[in-house]
Amino acid sequence: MESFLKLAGGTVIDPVSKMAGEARDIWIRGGKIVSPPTESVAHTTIDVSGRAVMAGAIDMHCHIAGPKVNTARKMEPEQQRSNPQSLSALEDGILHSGSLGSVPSIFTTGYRYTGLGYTTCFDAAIPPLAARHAHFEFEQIPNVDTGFFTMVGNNHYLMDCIARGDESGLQSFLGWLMNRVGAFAPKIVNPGGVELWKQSRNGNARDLGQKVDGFGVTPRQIIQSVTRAANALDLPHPVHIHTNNLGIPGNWETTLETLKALNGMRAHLAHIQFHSYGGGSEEETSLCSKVRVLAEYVNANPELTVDVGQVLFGETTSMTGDGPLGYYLQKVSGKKWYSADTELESGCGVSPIEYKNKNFIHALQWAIGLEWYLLVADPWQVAMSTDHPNGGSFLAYPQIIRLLMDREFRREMVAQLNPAVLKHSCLADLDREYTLSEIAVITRAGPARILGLKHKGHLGVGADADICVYEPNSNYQRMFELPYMVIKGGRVLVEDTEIRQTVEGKTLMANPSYDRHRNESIENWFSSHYSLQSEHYGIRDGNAFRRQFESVVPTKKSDS
Amino acid sequence: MQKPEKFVCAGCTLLCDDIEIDPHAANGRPKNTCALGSQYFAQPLSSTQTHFVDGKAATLEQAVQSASQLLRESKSPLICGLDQLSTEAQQASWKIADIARATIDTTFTNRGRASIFSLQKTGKVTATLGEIKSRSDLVIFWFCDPEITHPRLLERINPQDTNRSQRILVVGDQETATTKIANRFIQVSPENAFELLVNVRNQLALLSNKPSSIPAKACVSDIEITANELVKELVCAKYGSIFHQQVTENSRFDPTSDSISQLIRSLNDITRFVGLKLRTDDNALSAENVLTWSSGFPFAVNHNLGHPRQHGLEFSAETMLQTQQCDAILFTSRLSLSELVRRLSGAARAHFQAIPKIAFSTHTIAANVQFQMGIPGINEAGERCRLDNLSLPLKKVESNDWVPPEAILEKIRQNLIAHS
Repeated sequence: MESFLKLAGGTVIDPVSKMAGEARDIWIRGGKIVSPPTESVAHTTIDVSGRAVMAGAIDMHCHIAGPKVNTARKMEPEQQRSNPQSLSALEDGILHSGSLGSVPSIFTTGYRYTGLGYTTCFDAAIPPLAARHAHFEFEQIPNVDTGFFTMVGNNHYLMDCIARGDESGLQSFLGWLMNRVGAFAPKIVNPGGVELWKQSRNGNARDLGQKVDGFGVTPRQIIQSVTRAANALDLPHPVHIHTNNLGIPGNWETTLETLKALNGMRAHLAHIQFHSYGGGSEEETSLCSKVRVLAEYVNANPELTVDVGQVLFGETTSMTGDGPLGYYLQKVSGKKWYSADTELESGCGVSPIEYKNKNFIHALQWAIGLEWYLLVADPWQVAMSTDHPNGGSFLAYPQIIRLLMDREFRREMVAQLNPAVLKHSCLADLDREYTLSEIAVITRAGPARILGLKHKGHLGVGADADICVYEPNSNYQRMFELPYMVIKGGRVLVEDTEIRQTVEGKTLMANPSYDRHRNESIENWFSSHYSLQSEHYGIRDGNAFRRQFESVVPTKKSDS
Repeated sequence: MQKPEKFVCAGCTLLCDDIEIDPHAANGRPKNTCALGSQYFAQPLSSTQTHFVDGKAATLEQAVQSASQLLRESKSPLICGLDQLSTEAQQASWKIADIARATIDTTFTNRGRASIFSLQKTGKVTATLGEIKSRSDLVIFWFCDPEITHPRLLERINPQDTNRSQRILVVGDQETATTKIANRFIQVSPENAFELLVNVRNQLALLSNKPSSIPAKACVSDIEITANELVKELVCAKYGSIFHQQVTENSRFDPTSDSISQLIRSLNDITRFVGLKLRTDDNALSAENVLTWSSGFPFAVNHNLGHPRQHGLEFSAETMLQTQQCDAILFTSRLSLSELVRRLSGAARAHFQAIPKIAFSTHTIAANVQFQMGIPGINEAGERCRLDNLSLPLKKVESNDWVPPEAILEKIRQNLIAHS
């Protein structure tokens, strides 16, 4: 029988248990946090007194696997060469070699997330057709549990259902699709706009009321119908929305319209920073922040959540399922560009990008991201993200933490920006500093709640024993970039800041119940439209994958 | 009535996955295959899996032991021929390369690499086959002959919607099976192919600035006139697609490959266009994917310093053999040894014959250690990548209890770890 592990005397910061720095022992057994034994038992004790103990962190929006991520690696050898990662031996195993550009190789991705105390990550945009590729990559990511959101916002079957008002058909299709491809949540990317771009080079959906040619539905209808169906299916994370007009000056109005269209339904808006721009004329300096008005709406609607998509300065790679956006970005940069249209489902765009602090637009994007963290009153409604690698690498999370916890540091950084930014952003007026508990919310407890992961993001009994121990440091960037200890599923992976062992993660999927009477008609539709047989689509042959799949129980069922 | 099970054909990189095979039927012939597919499924199968050490039958454990020993004794092993393996076995191969500090490459040859260099310079605009089928009103075959190399391609991208027409255009140096069914054939020699592309791009650039004139200046040379004809075709398309193969044998720099990528990219400033390389290199695309997600680089990766390095073709299999930088080789090939040797360049051939060899092969091959593998999609299962980068599972038609290459490779890796 597996013995107990006792983490003794740590300063526990667990917002779910409302612990904000009390010394407490944590008992672990069988990969889970358990109640302290009532009688004397054999156990191993690790003394973590004086150190901060939090749940393992969760990155709820990143791009780490799948064809577009891998193509980004393939097309940027100059980045891969810049920071090679060496093979190293552990006491019981090895750390594979790799490369660390803005898009790290797959083993390095796992090791680096571990090194920051992250134990769960979600890839935010996998086309259903690319699910098999994504699962093969996931198999290789060590140490972290993973899952993905699958793109549905331009899916033909789904738009046909919406056009004929067939809500139950849409619900069945969504249930079928999530099961078939092993996805965790549906993702809407530029609803209708990607399809229009595939139809013609100037095509895009600029307005939520614009009709999608050939289908007669609007982005608003897509957003509302998918969100309604996903909530009805009781998905742990109903819907993840990248709304229309990302990155376009004046897009805040589309964003506000999107928030209003959700009309009380539970939903999440991704990388909201990129959707919060005022302005709109050809003049570059017309760009301004519209975070205040959007954050006020979020503050008034607790069912809505956002992740930020913080921009950091330096070289990175833009990658998106938003095909027309990819086209737009490469026209701006003139750099190499990868685009892939995926039949009946989606598109994508990949292009290198560099954010510079002296560039007005880039600096304003940086400021707008921080405004979001500081203007959303309830930290449970905002999750930390850089939209890795779009705004910057996930490796920048400790720097963002310091920017939020240390207003003097923030001011020093602001002073280095293009000065015009402060005329268009209220960042300099914001004095708020995050507490450690609030950081714990936006990096683990909040994402877990938003994702419906009841067994993650906290240190209560029954939670996964995914735990991070930090050495207190007044420089919060230092504190968070080198955890003293990281535990995954009860096994100590990082000790004294070094990786000691690796473990296999699990793949989290939603696996909802749905009306299966429609399966045959869905399969028939598939056969007549796709360029492959439905039996070779997704993970029907789940035994091809070595990694363990874990179905996350729907929210209502777990409450009952 | 239960639908018949569908199998995937690995006869070419189209991976047609609608093949029906009834193993109990009298003739046992697969349905829905093309000529290549029929040949593929008609390959003779071994009834038993036999491994060899120094030409003598050996147990799997003995062969694993010998292979591991050779790799341990090697100062600079080379692993190649990944294009013949499944995704799973390619992954296992990379893990060996990592721990053995080996060089690893997708194929034996430097040919056909230009498209990746183009991706790294320009990028790529592409689509899946179904997208081309449902949208493409103009399909161009650029120096390729799919009727021979990918016989079911046209069937698979031809629109079923009879209200929509799809124009087929072939650009190449000679009449082929595909030109016979094309709406138009534009003849150009390989030597003039690059010049044609430059002219097309120049005329398109002028067109972008002055949409009403094609071209802005009078055409004077034959190439300019041909280019002008081609431009007229291109700009009329609503969603064009170009299937292409490498025109020249120059592996390091093929200007037409770069130019095709740039052309497709710039056409998206006028209309929608996508491109797809008509690959003929088995499962090399999957191998590039595996090497990329594992090491960061798609091919020719050296791990001698304990981390991945890739500099053009410096560490390709062909270069490593030509320059005698490897002292043992672990490879996969479905060719006979003599045929494989014949395909290597002179200097590479001599070194290949001189060094210890560990082979994964479908049939007996003269090597220090030989592991017998099945034929993918017939008596061996595993993942493969279609030419449009879709991952598809190959199933076994014939059940057997053979140990698949990925399991053997993992045994070798475990042996290396145990003795490191």
